Formats: sequence, C-alpha cells, structure tokens
Amino acid sequence: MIALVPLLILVGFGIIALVLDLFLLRWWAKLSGYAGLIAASISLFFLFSKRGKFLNGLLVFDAKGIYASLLILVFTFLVFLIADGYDLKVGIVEGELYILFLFAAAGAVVMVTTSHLLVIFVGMEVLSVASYALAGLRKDELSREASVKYAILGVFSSVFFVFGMALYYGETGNLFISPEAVANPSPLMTAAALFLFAGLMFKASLVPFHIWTPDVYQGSPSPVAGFFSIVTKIAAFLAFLRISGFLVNPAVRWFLIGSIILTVIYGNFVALRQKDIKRLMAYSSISHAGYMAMALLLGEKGGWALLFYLSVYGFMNLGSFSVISSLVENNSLDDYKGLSKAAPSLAAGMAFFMISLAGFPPTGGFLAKFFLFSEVGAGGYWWLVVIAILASLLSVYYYLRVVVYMYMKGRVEKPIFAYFPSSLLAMFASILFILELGIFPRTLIYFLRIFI
Amino acid sequence: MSVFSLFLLSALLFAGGMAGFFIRRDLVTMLLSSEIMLAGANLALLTFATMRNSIEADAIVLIVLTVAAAEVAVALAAIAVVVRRKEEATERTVSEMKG
Amino acid sequence: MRELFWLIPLFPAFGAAFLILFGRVISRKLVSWLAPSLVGLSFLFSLLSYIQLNGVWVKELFSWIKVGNLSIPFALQFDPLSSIMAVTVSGVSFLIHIYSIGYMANDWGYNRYFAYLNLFTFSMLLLVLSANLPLMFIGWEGVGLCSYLLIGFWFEKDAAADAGKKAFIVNRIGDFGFLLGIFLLFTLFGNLSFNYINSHVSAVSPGIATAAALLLFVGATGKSAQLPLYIWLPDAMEGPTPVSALIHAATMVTAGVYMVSRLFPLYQHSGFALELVAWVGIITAIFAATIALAQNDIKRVLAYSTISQIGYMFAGVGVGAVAAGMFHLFTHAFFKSLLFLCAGAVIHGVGTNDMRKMGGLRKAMPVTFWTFLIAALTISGIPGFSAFFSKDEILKEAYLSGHKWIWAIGVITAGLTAFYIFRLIFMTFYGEYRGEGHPHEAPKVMLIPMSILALFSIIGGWFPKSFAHYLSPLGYIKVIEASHSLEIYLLGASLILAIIGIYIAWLVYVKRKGKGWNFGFVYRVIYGKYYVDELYNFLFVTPYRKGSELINRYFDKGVIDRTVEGSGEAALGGGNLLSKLQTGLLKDYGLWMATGIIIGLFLAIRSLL
Repeated sequence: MIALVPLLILVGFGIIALVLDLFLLRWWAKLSGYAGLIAASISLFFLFSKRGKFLNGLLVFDAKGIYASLLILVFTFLVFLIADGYDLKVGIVEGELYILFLFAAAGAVVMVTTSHLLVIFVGMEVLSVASYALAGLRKDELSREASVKYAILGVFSSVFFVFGMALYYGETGNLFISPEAVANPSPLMTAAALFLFAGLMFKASLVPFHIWTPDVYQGSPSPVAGFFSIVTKIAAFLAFLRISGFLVNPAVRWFLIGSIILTVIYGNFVALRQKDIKRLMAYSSISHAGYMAMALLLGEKGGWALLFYLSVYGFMNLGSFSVISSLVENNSLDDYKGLSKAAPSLAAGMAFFMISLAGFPPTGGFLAKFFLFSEVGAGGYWWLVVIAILASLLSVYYYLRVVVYMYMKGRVEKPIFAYFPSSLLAMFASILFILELGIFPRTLIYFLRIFI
Repeated sequence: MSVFSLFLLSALLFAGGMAGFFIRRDLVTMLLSSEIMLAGANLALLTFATMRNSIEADAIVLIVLTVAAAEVAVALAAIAVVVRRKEEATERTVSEMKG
Repeated sequence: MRELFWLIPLFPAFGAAFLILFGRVISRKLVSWLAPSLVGLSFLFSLLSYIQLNGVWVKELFSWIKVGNLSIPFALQFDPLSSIMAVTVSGVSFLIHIYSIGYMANDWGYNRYFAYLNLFTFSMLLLVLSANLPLMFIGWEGVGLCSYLLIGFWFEKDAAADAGKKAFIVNRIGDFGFLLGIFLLFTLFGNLSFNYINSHVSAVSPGIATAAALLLFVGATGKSAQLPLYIWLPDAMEGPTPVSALIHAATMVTAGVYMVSRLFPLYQHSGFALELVAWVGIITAIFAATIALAQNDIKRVLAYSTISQIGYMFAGVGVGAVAAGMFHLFTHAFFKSLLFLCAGAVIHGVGTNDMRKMGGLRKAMPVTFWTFLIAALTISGIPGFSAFFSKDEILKEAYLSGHKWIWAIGVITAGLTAFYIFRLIFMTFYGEYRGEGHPHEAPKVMLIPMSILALFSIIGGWFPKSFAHYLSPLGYIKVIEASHSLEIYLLGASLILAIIGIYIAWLVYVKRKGKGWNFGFVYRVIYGKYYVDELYNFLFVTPYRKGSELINRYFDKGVIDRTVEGSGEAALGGGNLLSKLQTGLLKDYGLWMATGIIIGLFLAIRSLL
C-alpha cells in the first residue's frame, strides 16, 4: 500500500483543489496544487529506500520508476510556474488548469511505476483525458481544434493499445510484462508487440504516429504544450522501456528502427520551414523523440542515457516554453523580431535554450546527445548514430534562426510580451539546471549508473 | 461458435471500425467508428478469456470499458464545443492548422 | 607555474562572464581596462609557464565525465606544443584587445564586442590547452560560436548576417566529421586523452587510423578554411577588422594545424592521411594565392592570403615537419595579424575597403605604411624577416623528405605571394590618392600594437635553437640537418621568385600607373624596357587575371557556393515537400497511423515466411 502514497497525495490534493475551485477560491486551489506536487516529491524520497513490487506486482517501485516520477513532478512544478500569470492573460480564470495538470501528472506517475499492461493503459488514459481537456482550455478556435484533434486521434490510438493487450493476453493468459513472454517470437506476440508499440509511439510522437503533435502543440495554451512535450514523453518512454524486451524480435526491432530513421529525418526537415514557434518546437520535439527512441534499442542498458536525456531535455524545452508563454500567444517568428532590445533577459534565455537544444557544449544538451549517441554506437548501431547526427545538423539551422530573429532583425513596433515573475523564475531555474547538468553531470550519472 | 470464428469476428469489427474512420467525414461518426474498433478489441479479450476459462479478462474488459467511456465523454464534449460554435462538425471544420 | 598554469584560460573566462552579466551597467572606460588586462594576465602566465616549462605538465581540475569505462577529466596540458600556441594566442589577443579600444571606440556595441572577444580568447585557450579530445571539442565549438557572433557583429548589414550564417553552415559540416572522428577514436582506444592515443597508435591497423584521421581532418579543413571548405573565410571579412586579425588570421583558423600536430602520431601511423594533408595544404596554398591576385577588396586579398599561408602550414605538417609547420604558424600569427591591423588602420583612415579608391597613402599614414611594408616583406620571405626562416624551413623539409612537387608548388606560391602583397602595397600607398575626403593616420592606441607586432614580425624567426629542438620532448619530432650548400640552393630558388614577384608588381602597378612619381634610378633603368612590361601584361598578367577571375567566378562562386546554398535550398525544399503530408485533416492523420501499423504487420509476416 505504501507505494500508493505519492499517487494518493497527488489525487487527494487534486480533489481538494477541485472543491476549492468550486467555491471560487482560485488562488487556494492553485496553492493546493503546488502543495500536492511538493508533498508527493517528498514522499518519493522516503519511498526510495523501500523499492520493490507492491499490490501483487501491479505497481513496481524501482529506481527508474521513482526517478521518472520525480522528473514528472519537477517538470509539472515548472509548468505550474510557467502557467502562473499566463492563464489570466489569456482568460483562463478558473483553477481547472492546475487541477487537470495534477491529474495528468498522476496518470503519468502510474504509467512509469508499473509493469502491468492494464495499469499502463489506465495511467495512459488518465493522462490522456486530462490532456484533451487541457488542450482546449483557451477559448479560441485553434485551441478547440487542438482539443478535438487530440481527442479523436487519442481514442483511435488507445484502441490500438487495447487490441495489443488482447493479443498479449491471448498468448500468455495475463497482462504482466515478463521477459520470457516478450521474447517469444510467435505470430500472435509479434502482432501484440506492434499494436502496443503503436499506442505508445503515439504518445511519444514517433513517425507515423507523430501526426497529431504539431497541430496540438500549436493550438494548445503554451504551458500546456510544454507539458505535453515533456511529461507525456517521460511517461511514454518509460512504459516503452518496460516492454523493450519485445525488440529481440527482428520484425519489431526493424519496425522501431524504421520509425526512428523517419522520425529524425522528418522532424528536422519539416522544422526548417516553420514560421510558428510552437509548431517549430513540436517538430523539434518529434526529432528529439527520435533520438531518445534510439536508446530503447539497447533495452535496459540504455535506460540511464535515456533518463539523462529526458532530464536535460525537460529543462531545455520547458525553459523555451517559459519564454514562449511570456509572449502570450504571439507565436509567429516575426513576433520575436527585436526581442533582444525590448526584453533582453527573455531573449538571452531563449537563445541559451536554443543553443542547448541544438547540442552545443558546454550545455547539458551536448552531453545528453553525447552520452546517448556514444551508448547507442557502442551498442552496435553506428550507422543509426551517423544518420541521427546528420539529421541533427539541420536542427542547428532552425534553432539558430530563432536567435537570428531575436538578435539580428529589427522592426518598428515593439514586440508584445509580459514579464511573469514565476515564469522568469522557471526560466532561470532551467538555465541553472542545464548548466549544472552540462558541466557537473557526475552526480546524476553516478546515481543513474548505480541504480538503473 | 468456435474460438476461431469469434476471434475472426473481433478482427473484422476492428478492421471495419477502422474503415469507417476513413470513410466518414463526420466527427461523431469517426468517434463511433473508433468505438467499434474498441468493441472488436474487447471481444478479442473475451474470446481469449473463454479459451482459457479465466474470469480475469472479464474484469479487464470492464475496466477498459469504463476508462474508454470517460475518454469518449471528453472527446464528445470537445466535439460539442465545436458544434456549438460552427453548427457542424466534420473533419473540414477542424482543419485550420496544417503544414 | 606548474601548479598555476590552469589559470591561463580562466582570466578571459571571468572577463566574459562579468561583461555578459554586467555589460549593460558598467562604463566603457572600465571595460577598456578590464578586458585587455585580463587577457594580459593570461599572456603573462603563459609566458612565465613557457619559461619554466620542462617536460609535459598535466593538471586535472576535476573529473568531468565518468561513465563505465569512459573517463574524461577536465584536464589541461602544458607542453612544448601547447605552450607555443598559448603564448601566441594570448599575446596576439592582448595586442588586438588594445587595438580594438581605438578601432571600436565609436561603436554602440562596445561592451558586447569585448565580451565576445574575451569569450573567444577563453575558448581558444581551452582548445589549445586541453588534454583530451572532448575538451578540445568544447573549445572548438566555442571559437566557432564566437566567430559566428563576431562576423555577424554588424548584423544591420545583411552581408554580415549572411556571412555569419555561411561560416556557421560550413563549419557544421567540418564539425560533423570531427565528432564522428572522436566517436571512432573512442571505440578504438577507449580513452580520449592525446597522450594515450599518441602512445597507443600502433595498437590499431593503419586503415582504421586513416579513417579516424581523415574524419578529424574534415573538421580541420572546415575550421582552417582549406579546400574544399574554405569558402566561408573570405565572406567572414564582413566582421570588424580586429576580429579578422585575431580570429580569421592569427588564431582560430590555425586550430586545424594545431590539431593535426597534436595527433601527429595517428596521422603518421596512417601514412595516407598524412600525405593527403600535405597535398590538400599545398594545393590550397597555390589555389588561394592565385585568387588573391585579382581581388580589389583589401581585406579579401588578406583573407585569401591567410588561406594560402595555412595551406603552407598543412603542407609542412603533412610532409612530416611538425616543427616547421608550427614555426610558420607562430610567425604567421604576427605578420598576418599585423597585415590585418594595418589594413584596419587604412580602412579606418579612408573609410572604404576598395583598393581602387586608395593610393598615395604613404604620406598621410607614414607609420601604417612602414609597418605594412615590414609585414609585406615578411610574408614575401625576404631574408632576415621571420617568415623567411619558417617558410624556408617548410620548403626545405618538403624537398628533403622527397616531396619535390610540393616543394616546386611551394616555391611558385612564394612568388605569387610576393606579387599580390606588393600589388596591395603599391595600389594602397603609392601613386595618387583616388578616393574622397582626407585620409588620416590612426590613433596611437592602434599604432602601438601595430609597432609591437612589426617588431615581432622581424625578430619572431630569430631563434637560437630550432623549433624542432624545442618540440623534441614530445617524442615524435625529428630533427633533420641539411647540408649547407643544398640549403642555400633551395633558399635561393624561393628568394629569386619572391623578388621577381615584387618586381612584376612594381612594373604593373607602379610604373604603369605611377604618373608624376619618381622612383629614382631604378625607374630609369626599367624605363627602357617598357615592352617587357606590356608583353608581360599581354602574355601573362591579363590571362592570369582573367583566369583567376574565372576560377573565382565559376569554381568559387559557381561550384562551391552553389553546393552550399544548393544543399540549404534542397533541405528547405525537402521540408516543404514533407510538410505537405501534414494536411490538417483527421482522416489523413488516421490513415498515417493505420499505414504505420500495416507496414509493421507486413514486416512481421515477412519475418515469418
């Protein structure tokens, strides 16, 4: 039962917030959200010494799951900071934004701390249902469209996952992921693997299941898009890691490899021509998903590189979204012209995140790529690393284009932006963490290598 | 009915639902097509349960149905918002963003 | 100093951090003191370390990355090779900081400029002092980034922004090779420190060593502007002139030469890679020199000259003479940055880059003229000046190691070099002033660094013992002694060609256009041979200039520029095409996902059959 504590805390504070919001105590609802995140994170620290399986193995609290849960909570906290202030500016006056974030995070935590397919599914659905609502929170056409598209395609993809579950059950008679079962290359198992993969690839935005990503990111409120870009990915990749045993089957492996190649090429190429910053970030997140999926090919061995990448990627991406949110839905690249003069700190922060996303040393973005690529290369996928590096060369162009727009293009009218104190805090925290992970990565790597 | 023919039926439901998703333009019908696919998947689960003489799968199907119902409810709500603004809900209604 | 040399790169790092954080609030006066003096401290420490150096110093500051069997310490190394680089980089950088105080005095981005310049100096010092490849790569990327920022410094000019972008794209191609090379070396050796790789090269087969060496060399051609990746350097001249002097002449562009010298045993083990380095170097040298003949922009002449001179260095290292290559790198740092600073003073004085609008500046700018003349004599290889020794060393070693063709091309290039540099001198300082306004001499704060550099251009080659002796503790530098008579014979050849080059430049640019100007008795002696001039012009100069214009237009602009721009356009076009797949229609989206799963099932069925 003890494993349920973080979840109960999250959901409990979520319900408290819901009630408070009902009585229009918006500020208190938000506070309850913050409190829930902090309390749940603290409970994770205490749980760390009590690692193991709970509830007949339905919940698996191993180091990987706990670390991923912590990442989810930390990044949700950052999203809270980013959303604070932004929400009122775009007319989201109720506290529902925070409540939905809290429930979505709870779903994500469920997904990363289990190795039972049904529990993964339930977690995924909790995350999804909250996400569809989040995507539609801004009251304009784009947001509504994002919500509808996400919901319909989400239903479509979760059916794939259920079908995969059914096939898995047909072969093994239960839904626990066991190494022996997934290594079985029978036709039924292969089909099960493909359908399960399809469901998760949708969440992780891998080609061709990435297709919802650009539209949903563009239409969603900026902090929400930031949330999708990292929390959903953590959950999907961790679940992926649990079923990575399927990859010993060559058909499944080549399915994933083919998808990775298409993903890194597609994401980077299409990002080149984007004029909308959130669409650009969406395509960027697709290509990053492609890099991260390479670690899955190594199975558990690649786990630490994947988690390191996710940690750095979360700070880089949420950092950029903190700036994007500060421009309050003025998302065209043209809106970034002259930002360096009007809002030097925002522009400098954005430039830093872009440089980090492009993978320049000494930022964390460089090390994350370095570890991931060298680990994948050492695992025997040299040619894949070459393709990924070639594709990532393109990314430098579109990331620096943002910098060029901010610093090297002037314009007559002033860019529209607002300084939200908590958003700035999130930005500076992200910068600090990226530098920390780039220059002194030893502690984290040590931890990841020992426990994962 | 034999286990095999039941499984065949579930696969047909799945495929038919998918076809419906591509043929129909109307958002609500598209959603319904997905539900037919889901019915196919659930039927497959139940078929395997019968084959194995197990009660576990019945519980699984119940949970899946409950969760999926919640998901569809939100999807319908999202569509409803669009209908209220635009008085119709086909895939063309929500194709502003692309490229 | 053994315990303190690691401070060398940290002074400018501190400066850069301080200026970036507080650049908006502190006064120009403070910046003018702070930025140069921090680099000055670096120079002082480098010099002291250089004096006390014995053997190889390695200082491990902290363990940067430690993962399984991969251990990369944050370690700096001070040995004969890096000491030369550290002294050169910090010294030239110090002088250019001072010069910049005058040159940038009226620029609104003054503080930002010094922040970048300090950041550059830090990255460059990190590059040369790093003890392993990943750390070098940080410096490598850092200097690239700073160079990009500084080329595009005057981003109001479209040309400057475009040039910055071009430099960046081209360098990414090089960096890609460099990074792959690092990965390959890691799988081969499991350790990326230079000392380890150099002492274990014999453990791998020459074929694999060739692959690694060539991948790294791709990086070197990008950074050091060699064929075929040289094209960014001439455009990079859009940046402020002191930047051209520091980054695009003296320091950053020689990083490739340094890297090859650093991993020389690897190249030697490969054999083929070393040979390729030599040939790429010498062909670049003559190729760039021919283009320099037909340029009218004063800075572009110098840019092509830089490409050509770096080609010499690669040729030197490639024929096995690391010491000679490094020697030329050392002298080149002084005379080429001097050439650029003088050009900067000229541009500052007349307000244009176009040499056709200059002329007769000898009287208006006497100090600039004399320092320019010293630099020109140096680069031409006139005896007594520093480049005479270093260039001679390269050519001699090429000859002695059996690369007779490389020697021959090198000697011809020496002649061309003398021609184009004196063409520049004659067009700028002789004849009549063809521009507008009144040219004026540069301020003292600019003239002093120029004078110091002029002094070093002369004495920089006067080493009592050879470079090879100094570098010998590295263990892979061989000291060749040539017979005295052969040396004089080899020397004579390049000297004669250099003098012929100067003479022809004089004929073409002074005599023919020099109306109203008297060159004393030489003038009268030449006067009677007017037809030689004309004949030469008809037979040689015109076709040659046409030829090099053609190369410039069709090869340089046509082939290589088109390739770079073309690949950029192709990428954008590809992006356009692929983005059409995102139709915005839900049905199509569902179709994509269904296609995905069907392909997967198809794969599965195929694997079963």
